[in-house]
Amino acid sequence: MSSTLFIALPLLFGFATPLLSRLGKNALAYTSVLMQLSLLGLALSLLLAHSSTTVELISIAAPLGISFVLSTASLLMVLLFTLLMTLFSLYYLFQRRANAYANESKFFTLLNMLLAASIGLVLSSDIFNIYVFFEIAGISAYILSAYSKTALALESGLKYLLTGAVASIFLLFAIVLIYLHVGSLNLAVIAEQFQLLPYNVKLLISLLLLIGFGFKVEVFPLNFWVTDVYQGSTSLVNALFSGIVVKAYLFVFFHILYLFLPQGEFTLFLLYLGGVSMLVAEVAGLRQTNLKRLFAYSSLGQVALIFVAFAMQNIQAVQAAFFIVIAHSLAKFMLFLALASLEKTEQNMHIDRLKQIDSPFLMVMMFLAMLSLLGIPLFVGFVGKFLLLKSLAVEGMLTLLVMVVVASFIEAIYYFKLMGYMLHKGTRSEKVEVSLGEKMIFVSLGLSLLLLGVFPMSIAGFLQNAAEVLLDQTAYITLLVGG
Amino acid sequence: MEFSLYGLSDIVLSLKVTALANFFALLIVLSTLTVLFIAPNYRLKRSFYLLFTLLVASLFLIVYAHDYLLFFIGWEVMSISTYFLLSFTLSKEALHKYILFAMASALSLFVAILLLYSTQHSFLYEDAKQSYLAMSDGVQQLFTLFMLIAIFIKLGTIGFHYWLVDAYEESHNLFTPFLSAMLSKMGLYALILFVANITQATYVLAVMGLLTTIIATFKAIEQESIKRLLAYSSIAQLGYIVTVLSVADGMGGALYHALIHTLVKLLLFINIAGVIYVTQKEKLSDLGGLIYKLPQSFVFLLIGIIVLAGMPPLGGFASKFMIYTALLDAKYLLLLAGVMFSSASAFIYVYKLIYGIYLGHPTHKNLEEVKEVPWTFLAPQYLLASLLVIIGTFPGLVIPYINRILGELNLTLLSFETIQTLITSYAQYNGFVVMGAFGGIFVLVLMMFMLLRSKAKKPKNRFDIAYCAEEPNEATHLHYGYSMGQELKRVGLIHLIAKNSSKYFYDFLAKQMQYFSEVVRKIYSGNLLLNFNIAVLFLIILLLWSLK
Amino acid sequence: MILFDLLFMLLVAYITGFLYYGLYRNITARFQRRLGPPVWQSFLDSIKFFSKEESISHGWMFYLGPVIMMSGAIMTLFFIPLFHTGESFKGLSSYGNLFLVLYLLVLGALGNALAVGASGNPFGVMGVTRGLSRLFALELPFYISVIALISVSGSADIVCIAASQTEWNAFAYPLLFIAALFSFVGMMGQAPFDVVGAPVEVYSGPASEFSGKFLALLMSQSAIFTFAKLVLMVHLFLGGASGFVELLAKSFGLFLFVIAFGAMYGRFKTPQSIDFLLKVPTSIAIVGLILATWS
Repeated sequence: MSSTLFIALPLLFGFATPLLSRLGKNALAYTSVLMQLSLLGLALSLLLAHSSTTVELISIAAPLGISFVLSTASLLMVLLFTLLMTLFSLYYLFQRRANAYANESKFFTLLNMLLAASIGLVLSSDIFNIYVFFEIAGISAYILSAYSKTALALESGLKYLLTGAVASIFLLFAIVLIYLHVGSLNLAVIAEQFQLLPYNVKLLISLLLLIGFGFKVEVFPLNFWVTDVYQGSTSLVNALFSGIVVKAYLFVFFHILYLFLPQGEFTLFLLYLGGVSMLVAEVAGLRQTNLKRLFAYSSLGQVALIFVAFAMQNIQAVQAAFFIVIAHSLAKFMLFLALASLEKTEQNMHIDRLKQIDSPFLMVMMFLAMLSLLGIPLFVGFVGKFLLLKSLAVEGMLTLLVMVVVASFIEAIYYFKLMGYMLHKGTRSEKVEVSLGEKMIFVSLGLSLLLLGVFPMSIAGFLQNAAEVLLDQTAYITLLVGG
Repeated sequence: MEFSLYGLSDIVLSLKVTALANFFALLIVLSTLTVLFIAPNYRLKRSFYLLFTLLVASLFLIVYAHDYLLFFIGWEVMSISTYFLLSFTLSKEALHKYILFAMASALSLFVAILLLYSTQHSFLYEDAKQSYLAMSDGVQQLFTLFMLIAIFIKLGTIGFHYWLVDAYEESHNLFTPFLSAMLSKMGLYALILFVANITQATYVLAVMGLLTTIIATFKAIEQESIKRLLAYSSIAQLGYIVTVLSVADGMGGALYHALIHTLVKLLLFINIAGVIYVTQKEKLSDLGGLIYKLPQSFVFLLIGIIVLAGMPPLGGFASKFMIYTALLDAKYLLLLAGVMFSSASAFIYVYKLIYGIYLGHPTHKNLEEVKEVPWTFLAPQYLLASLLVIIGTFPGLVIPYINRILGELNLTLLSFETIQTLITSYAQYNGFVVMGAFGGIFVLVLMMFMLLRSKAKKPKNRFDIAYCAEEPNEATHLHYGYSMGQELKRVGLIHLIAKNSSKYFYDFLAKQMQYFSEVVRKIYSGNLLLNFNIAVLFLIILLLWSLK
Repeated sequence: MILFDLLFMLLVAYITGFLYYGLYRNITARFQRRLGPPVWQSFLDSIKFFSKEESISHGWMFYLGPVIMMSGAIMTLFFIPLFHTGESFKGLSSYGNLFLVLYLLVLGALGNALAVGASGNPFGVMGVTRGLSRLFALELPFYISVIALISVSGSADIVCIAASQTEWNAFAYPLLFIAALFSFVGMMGQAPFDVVGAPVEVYSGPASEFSGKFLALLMSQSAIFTFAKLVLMVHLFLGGASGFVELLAKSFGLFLFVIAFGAMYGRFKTPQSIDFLLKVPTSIAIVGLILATWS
């Protein structure tokens, strides 16, 4: 039953926020932390209790009803999401006095809907449920992005909404086609019969799925909305977008892909799509002077890297993908929280501001996050990139290898430009207050980047396990439909 | 010591103590100690020492690694810690330039080692040759290209040196000796591993090495800033080593010269750090006439430039001699001529260096109150200078150690009889006799000359010189030689050599890159209509492609 | 025994050097339709200078400079054997080699440059600058020729090179010889490459600040050094020498050629001489090297 809790608890909490907010000024923030902590605890206990690959299967009124599969792979994602969410709640709690959101209870409702939907996406084994969570996540994200109601925020919310609507149309169309031909919405059932479909139908469905999810997994050329959304939204929300939401979409997209196309018919195409996405994003980011937009470009690049890793469709690469997912989530989360700390005093996010800021602590933390993103050894970012590139080299995909490396180099150009701004020697006038609690969060994130980078073996086994589970199509089918 | 990484059995890492590693580790220890000796003179932040420790640790990792992955990790950590160490003093542009080249170097190395891994699934040095041979021809060339780019950037080989000179010039005076003596040596270490373990890219190394020595020498000649001059000289010196590594039996000479170069560059950079410390001036045009204020420093710089120019009887000649005979042995005669040519050209900049700082007339009045540098600067110089003199007198002293390395790498050993002599197939050279003869003759001539009882005194007025029957005064510009070498630019060939072509090239590249970025950025301009059009176009292409 | 050898070599070089210098002044004078001074005039001049009292020294580096220069010249002499046959008058050549000698040729110039720099005389420094700028261009053709000779004779030992000539290297490898001669003219400080000292018409050059005993030392050094360089050329290109008569004949012939050459030509400016040396003699030397070692 526990896996339903991951979805039910945030939803419940989300809708209970109006009540909770009446309890006291800080009640909402504190209870939110408590709730996230309990989710994290639950996920951890599941991890410790189960060493086998499949943790749980919950079916309600199968085969047409709702069913969730909590495997090692999805547990990994859930663990990551709850961890980030816990840190997020803590951070919000610590900086709340300075920067409380207007209409806090609504904010928390949306937040928890977003979390529930992200977890739901990861757990669902039913394509219609996936669509539902896709929509829930979308809607809450649109509103969150427009939450501050400035002109930029509203623009970004609207853009997000438009593109999201287009995406869901494609997805819905794909689902209709699937149901028409297969007569079931259960992923396992579809997976069993997908190979038998006529080529054209297969192609059409695949394309529709690719476009539907393509918007959400931010792949070129469907990622044009991302930078605007990141610029319009507050940094706190961005931290969630790049830390949680896009990872959930990526996971579910490749989950479906592995199930439907186990032979990897489109592998080469997807790989080059990812490679091109990465290059385009990094090149476009080269001259960017707005920090939020810049980090958006970097997110696009990193997500494309994860896309490449998943698209390789072999255990080593998927393990690498998980490493990059973790590394990117932690590091980007950290960067956006740092931006949020800067945002408390002023909205201006031009990179010149980095020359003014007098906060060595934040600087050091941002250095750590950036170095990890760049894949410098001793940071976890390196482990992921290394494993991915190794796997590319072993498979003989030298063009792609060079593409990824060139893109990484371009990324290094602008990240080191930022670092140059931060190291700028001059008078620094702008003081930024960072409370002890915030510091603890940054330090724990930074330390985890370093520790995972120096001792990657501590999680490598788990990630490999997750990769095996995610790629093992027959086991999944057996689990859901039986022999 | 071998161990596996990441819980993955397919990656084996290894640390191993080899003679080659020990050789470089010794250089690291020497450089670190001498550099730290002068540290108390500067007020440095605690983070500087922290980063410095990290840097030294990464150097040891590079040296003792026995597989390319650990080597790469050390390489990256070295680049990044150097970045932060440089950030204390470098301007934004120079710093950015440094890190871009460092990252390019690291990423090329990364690609190269992954290519190496892709065939035999091993990063170990022992398997490198096998892995290389298992590649197809195209991949072999690609691998060599990436590997050499990585190495050349660290070495500052000409064309890849764009970052180096600014970084050297603006780096902290404490850190410059280390940069020149150690960090560039890591590039050399990588090159030695490459040549010894994988393949000897003969022609590339020969051409690049020769171009480097010649161009860098002429660039050094035209500099007016002391540290820039020495930076170019560093490049040129490493060019000799690159050149000699292109021949089969060049390893001995390369190691010998690496040792000498480390010692001499430490000596020179510490020396000028002392000069800058007491005068606060970094340009040859602002200095001059310091010989009587800083006599000990003068002698050390003199020893330094004698070694740098490769003059007998000090250690510099021994290593040059090894390089020359190695090239001679391989019958690379024109290459040898080119190297000797650049070695002869080096006389100009070494003289310019010592003249600009210590000789001639002081340009500024306040130079007359300068005192000898603190003993913390002098002590390491005593050590380094005496080492150079000892090696000059007993050039065979280091041969057994070099032979141990050569034996380990399965190369032909150098012949060795006594510690006084260097023996090669073409000739031999007895450092002890040369040193003794020179000393003896010098003392005899000096004594006889002194017997003549000259009553000459130092004039009270420094303007008391032969000056076309006129008398110069304070306003007359007398410290003129600091700009020597400028007139060389009037010679067409030399002008061609010393052009700033790499600056133009990299500026052009950066400009094109920015232009390209501007174009690509249009996609993300926020114009939804445009974006959807692009997406639809993409979709159509995709459909056509998949229906094909 | 070796000390006697060395002393004798020094004496021979000293006397012959001054003799040649005197002859040079005479012959040049004849070229210019003058009578010229007596042959031993330079020698007497130097003796006189040694007895002169000079009033100014610019510190210890200035004082040591000429001494280093002298030592450099004597070192060069000692590491070049007088004869390639027999046992005696080899000097210290068995302890060194041709590369060492090539560097020793420059050692004196370095000492001189230091002393001139210490004097602070800008005209002196001007001469040094010209000398150093010209030096590398001067050396290049010479280096190429020497390398070719080392390669064909299989040794960098001067005795071996001299002994290995069945016919004179000058005839066996004429291009190399021609290229080396250009450099040699420059090394001897003869026109058209004599801009360093720029004797007679310009008040400059490394020697500007030296007077009295210093000048005397420089003159003696020049005499010894001239002889040493001639002997080196004889060994490298003219088949070496096994007796005094042969040595004097060959070296004087070479000397005669050099001064005749010098008397015939005008003077190059520094950039001109560099340009010329880098183009013509270097090309000749490269062709010569390729012809000599092509197999």
